[in-house]
Amino acid sequence: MSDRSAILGAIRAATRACEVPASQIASEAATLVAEATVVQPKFGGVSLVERFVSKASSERVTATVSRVDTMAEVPASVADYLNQRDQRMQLAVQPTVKLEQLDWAGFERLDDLADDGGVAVTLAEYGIAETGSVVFRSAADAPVLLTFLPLIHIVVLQASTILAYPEDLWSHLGGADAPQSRALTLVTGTSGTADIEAINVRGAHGPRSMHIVLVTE
Amino acid sequence: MIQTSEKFREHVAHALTDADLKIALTRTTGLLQSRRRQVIDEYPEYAQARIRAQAIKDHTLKHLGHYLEMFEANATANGAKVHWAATPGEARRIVSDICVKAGAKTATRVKSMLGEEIGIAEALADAGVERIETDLAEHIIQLAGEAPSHIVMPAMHKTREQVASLFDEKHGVAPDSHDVTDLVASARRELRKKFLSADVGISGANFLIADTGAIVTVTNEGNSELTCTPPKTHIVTVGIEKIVPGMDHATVLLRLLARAAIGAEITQYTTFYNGPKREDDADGPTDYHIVLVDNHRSEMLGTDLQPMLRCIRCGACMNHCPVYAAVGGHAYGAVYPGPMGSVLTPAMSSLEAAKDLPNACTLNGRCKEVCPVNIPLPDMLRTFRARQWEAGLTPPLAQWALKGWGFVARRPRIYRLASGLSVYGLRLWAFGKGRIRKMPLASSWLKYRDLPRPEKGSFMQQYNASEHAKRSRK
Ligand code: SF4
Repeated sequence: MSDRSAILGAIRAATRACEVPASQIASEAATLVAEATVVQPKFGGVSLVERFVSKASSERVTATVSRVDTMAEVPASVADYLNQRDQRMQLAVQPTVKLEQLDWAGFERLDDLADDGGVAVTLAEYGIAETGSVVFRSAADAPVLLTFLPLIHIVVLQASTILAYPEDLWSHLGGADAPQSRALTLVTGTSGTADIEAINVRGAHGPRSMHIVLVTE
Repeated sequence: MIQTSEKFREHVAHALTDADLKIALTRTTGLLQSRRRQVIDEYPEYAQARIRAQAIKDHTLKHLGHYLEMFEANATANGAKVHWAATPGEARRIVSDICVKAGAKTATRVKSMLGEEIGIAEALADAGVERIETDLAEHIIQLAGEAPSHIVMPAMHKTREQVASLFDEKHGVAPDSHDVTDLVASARRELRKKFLSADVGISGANFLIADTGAIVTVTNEGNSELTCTPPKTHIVTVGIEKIVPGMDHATVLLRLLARAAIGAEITQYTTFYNGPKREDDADGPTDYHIVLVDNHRSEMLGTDLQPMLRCIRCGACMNHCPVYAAVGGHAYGAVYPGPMGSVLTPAMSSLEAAKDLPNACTLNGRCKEVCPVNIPLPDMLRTFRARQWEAGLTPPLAQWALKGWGFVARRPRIYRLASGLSVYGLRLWAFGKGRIRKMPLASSWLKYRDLPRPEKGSFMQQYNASEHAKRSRK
């Protein structure tokens, strides 16, 4: 007997009394997450953008946020950020149209972040107000490693894409039947560890600093 | 790892004299407790979320076969190769076969307890593959040649001073200083190139999503994505109980997991993996395997141990356990330490091999209280004690004492007299002080604990006295 049939057989034997039609199981499952507000942390009275910014820049998440009105202003804002930190004007830009079409003159472009210490600019698809997270999905124009290899991660986020809760994100993405990209990541701040005496340290393997350029347009 | 739970008493005796261990545990558990407390206080919906989390896990376990088949179908449609392993041995065989077929020389690994449970290190060694642990704590214990002592923070038993001298000795370039920040930077330097050149990446999964076929990993370090993206092959090994119906269900549990485990609202990186690299994707593995492991889980279904399958491996029960805080994780001599381990170890091996574990518990109830899925850990430990009694595994002295107690307890008048007398005796023994430090026949028990001086009189005596007082007031 294969391991598969042995395992499923043992499970069925142990749960036999509970065998019911799939539709009934599905409706039971749906009631368990109905009215999600019961379990979602409330942030009444505060706008999605305000909540997002306060969470992202909180002590636990440690990102910095700057705000611009239009996408065209992004490169200048990035330059300011790097200047203030005495960083070289050197960065990798995610190969996606919305970022590629901006004017990056004045920056030296990196196309490899294998050596440590680089800067990358990526475009988040969504923001999550509950936790101050930004959302990335792998694609031809969205390499996963761009989010993990730099030492400084600069994230461009359009205010209109900020959703309240992860539950809203799942429904935005079309639910279980929509095609899924290989990897969907919620990034909340920078790479950190508390593995030595529970002391929080940033920059474990991935970014040590995260800066979010929030675009109003 | 080789299970040595039967030597629990020896391990404990050893642990209690280890001064570094005491320092490491004290520095860590206090911080973890206060961070958890704070983040739960900030989440007024916690009580409701906990009720839902329990209901979600109970529902999924009730229909486990249905959901596993649904997951298998969806993951396969996503391009995953799904394997089933009834035993750790079978899981190891599957993993090493995949590595051999891939011609792998090196494998990066993200810590997962299931990987420890099946002995992933052995599987890779069998396949002639060099294993690179990427979680900082696992990196530390790999260098030290030790086993994990905690399920979320495997190197909890080490002080920063110990980590510093380990890195001085083993890292290609020694750390710039012994500051914790520089220690972390040193590990970063050591591991960076290895991430990018590995042939295989191995992860576990915190959740399996039945209706999409996704697996979920959560980390703070980002080592999951760095492990599961560059290599050509990604292997996931996961216990069958990790399944949930859908994304919304996982979200309820994710909120609790981060809060209970590390005192955060969410971990820094939460990734849903849906299969191998898509044709035009910029990066990702082309070969993607999921190994679903049983290892006695299906045996626990439908028994009084079933609630243990709700466990989301947050570690809160051990962070709040006085026994764990005194002896550390290694004393348990098994993959899973602390309260949840004292239930899982006998369930996954034998009652005999783990006979001391269910007894190493004060039944203070803190573990159940902090458990985000409300697992009745003290009740389950009591169940094991009862099974031990039935199997004649209870130590003779305890048997004799329990039988004596049983004789007296069935005779209410003698019981009241005896318990009243013993309270009187203990109060006398405390010599007017608040604590009892020494007592004949209990010297080893009291060596590391104080017994508070008892109240005046037994419960029944106090109850009768207060009833009497009430009546006379009327
Ligand atoms: S038993 Fe509960 S508290 Fe302990 S690790 Fe599992 S989920 Fe966490």
